[in-house]
This record gives sequence, C-alpha cells and structure tokens, in this order.
Amino acid sequence: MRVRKELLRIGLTALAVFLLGLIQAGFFDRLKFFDCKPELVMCFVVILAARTDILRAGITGFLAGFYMDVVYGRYVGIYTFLYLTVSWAASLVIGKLMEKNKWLGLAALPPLMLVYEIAESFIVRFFAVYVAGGGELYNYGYGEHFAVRILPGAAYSLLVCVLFYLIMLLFLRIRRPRPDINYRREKDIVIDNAQ
Amino acid sequence: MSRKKKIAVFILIALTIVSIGLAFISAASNKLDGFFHLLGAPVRSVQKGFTQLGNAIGERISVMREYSAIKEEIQRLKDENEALRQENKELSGFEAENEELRRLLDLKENLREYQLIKASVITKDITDWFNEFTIDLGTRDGVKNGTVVITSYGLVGLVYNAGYNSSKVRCIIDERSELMCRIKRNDELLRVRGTTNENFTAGLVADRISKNAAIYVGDVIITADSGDVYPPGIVVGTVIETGTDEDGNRYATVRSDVNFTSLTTVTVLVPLENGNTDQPEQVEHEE
Repeated sequence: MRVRKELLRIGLTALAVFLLGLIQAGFFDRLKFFDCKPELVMCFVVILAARTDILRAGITGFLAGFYMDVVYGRYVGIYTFLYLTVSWAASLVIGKLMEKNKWLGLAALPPLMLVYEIAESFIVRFFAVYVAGGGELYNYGYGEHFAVRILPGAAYSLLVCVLFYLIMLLFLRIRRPRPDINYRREKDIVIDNAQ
Repeated sequence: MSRKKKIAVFILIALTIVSIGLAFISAASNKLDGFFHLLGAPVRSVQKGFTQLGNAIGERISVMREYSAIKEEIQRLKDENEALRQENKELSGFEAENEELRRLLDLKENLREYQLIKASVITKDITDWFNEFTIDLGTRDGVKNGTVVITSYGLVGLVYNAGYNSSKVRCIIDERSELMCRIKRNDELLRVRGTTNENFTAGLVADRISKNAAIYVGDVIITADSGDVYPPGIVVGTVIETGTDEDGNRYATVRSDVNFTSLTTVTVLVPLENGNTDQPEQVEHEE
C-alpha cells in the first residue's frame, strides 16, 4: 500500500513537471512581463519541496532540472544544478517556517526567488562566456542587468510561486478537513476549573 | 547527526557534483549533445502540438485585443470609409503577397543548389538566455549539423544539433554566432556577429571593416561565400548605425528584418545531391 502510494506520488510529480514544461514552452512566449517569462517547473519544484524532506526535495529538483536541460536547454547540467539547489534550500527554509505557521512560508519566497535569479544569471553567463568561450560576463554593467533582467524575472516567478503556494494550502485543506469538534483552548479550561 | 541525515547529505553532495560535472562537460564539448537530443525527442513531438495550440490561442487573443482597442474608432469611421477601407485592405493584401512572392523568387534564384523545405518551430529557448529554437525536421529529412535556416526576410541561423526528427537551431543574433558578410552595394567584406542577450538586447554587430570601406546607414548586408557554410547572397540585415570603438576599429550595428521572437515557421536549405537542380522545391509562405 505504501509503495503504491509512493509510486502514485512520483507519477503525479513527473506528470506535473511534464505538463508545466509543455505549458511554459508553448504558451509563455506570449505572456511575458517586462520581457520575462516565469519558470513554472522551478516554481512547482520549490513549492513541492516546502512539504517534503530535504533528500526527496533535492532528488525531485535534480530530476526536474535534468528533464528541462535535456528537452529545452543548451547545456545539460545547468538547470539540473540550479533546481537541485533551490529545492533543498526551499525544503530547508520554507519547510521550517511552515512548521511554525502555514502563512510564514510565503515570507521566504521573495528572497528565495531573488537569490535564484541572481544565481541563474551568474551561472548561465559563466558557462556561456568562460566555458563556451568569448565575451564579457556582464556587458552592460551589473546594475542595469539587475534592473532589466533579474528583478522582473524574480517578480514574475514569485507571482507564480505564491499562486502555487495558495493552491498547495487549498490542497492540504481538502486532504485534511477540520474535525467537527471544537477543542477549547487552555485558557478556557482554566476558567472552567476556577468555576 | 543521525545516520539517515548523513546519507541524505552524502546523496545531495553527490548529485551536486554530478550536475556541475555534467554542465562543464556539456559546455566544453558537444560529444553528448546527440545522446541528450535523442533522450528529449519523444517530449519534443508532444511539444510541437502544444506550441501550435499556444500560437493559435495567442493569435486569437492578439486579434481580440486589437479589436477592442480600435472598436470605437472603427465604429465612428465605418459608414463614411467602408468602401475605401475595403479597397485599401485588398490592395495592401496584394502588395504584401506580391512582396512575399518576389522575395521567395529572389531566394529561389540564389539558392538553386538547395532544396527549400518548410519547417515549424516546435519550441523556443524557454529561459531566454540563449537565442535558439527547435524545428520539426531532422536527419530523416536531410537536415544535418551546419544546415542553414532562413525566412523570406533573411538569414535566421544554423542547425547545431540535428536529431532524427527534430533539430536545434542557433540564431545569428546569438553571441556565439559569427559569419563573414559583404556590403551588397560595394562587395566590401566584414564580419557580422551576434551580441549578448543578458538584458534582452540580442542583435547584430558588424566589425573587421576595412578603413577605406564605405559603409552607410541603410546599406544591406548579405552573406559572403565563406567555407561552404552559408550560401552567398542571403540577406542578413540593414546597417542602422556606424561608429568607431575606443581602439579605433570601425563597427556597424545591423538590424535583421527577421523577427526572431515570433518565428513560427522557417525554411531549411538542404543541399541537393549531385547538383540536381530539377528537384521540386517545397517553399511555402512563412510567418
């Protein structure tokens, strides 16, 4: 039973990554925001990681990134590494915050998306320039690059992440409906005893 | 640290090393490109349908947007201008069609040694870091690495990773792309290369221009006969700016008439075997 459940979970995750990849490549060329497109698969992996342990999150990120590299990327390994890293970071940070309060996880998304975009920009440029050959790391200065590319990209991905986060909370609420009994708080119990 | 946590950390470190290693190998050499291309082939077949669906929906949405924006204006002018507008529309349609056919005829004359095959764009670079896209033609259609891709508006790029039924194309505006060209007006030789897309600014820059060469804004740049890669005479773009850099070298900014961001179909130039120029050509209109 447990194995079946686990296989179902893996299958659904793979299907979601597959579909989100198709949607991103097929539709988001026309849904740009300041020339930027969001990374649906990355956002999905991040939100999924928030509810899983670090190892499972890392492996999911690794496989999703590898898939994106093989099907859509130029250099295989770049997004494998990026998704792996962002997944375990999300599991560690958002997961911990969610343990305290389910809404607190949202607070970790803006810095996470910003750091992801900065890392993506650096790693992609690094491989494009130094490993593949030629050019400057940032031709137009980092400030302009940050304003034109990193910030809008992070904002768009953040928007999608928040949407996925809310869907996840809704999903968790449906899966675990509130019990009918309304338990009294400790304070109420004390008052009862006093009476 | 518990044993379970130690194993988790070990696996994550191993995966990190594997992914970094893969990235270095993939960027430094193209030996694994064919294997990875084959691995992604089944998904690309499905992607083709999704991209076509996305294009169709996108076109509908853009038509709806335009319609709502000019609806009031059309309504106001409709009565008095209906006949004139209709006539004008027809004339514009004929003119555009005529221009398209003329361009294709010119191309056909210049490219007698090639079979011109229409290809659909399956998927573009989804992260916008690299100027490349995938087409639905592969080695089974005669496409191989180095095959030239064009539209009726000019040169698009080169196939750099040909698979069985799909191929990856690198655009000429990519910073790794460079080609030898000529100024159409006076046959002066120069080099045209792509520029970086780090701020969504990918374009074309011409350099290695001789000191005595006359180059002006508006000059048309065409491909030169350079080592059998690009057929000579294909339009690359038009000069929009000329200048001199800090080292005193002359350069020119070139604008291509090809709209690289909205490519949906392209034409692939497959060399005809044994110079057979009688083979039927499959040119169709591009978008």
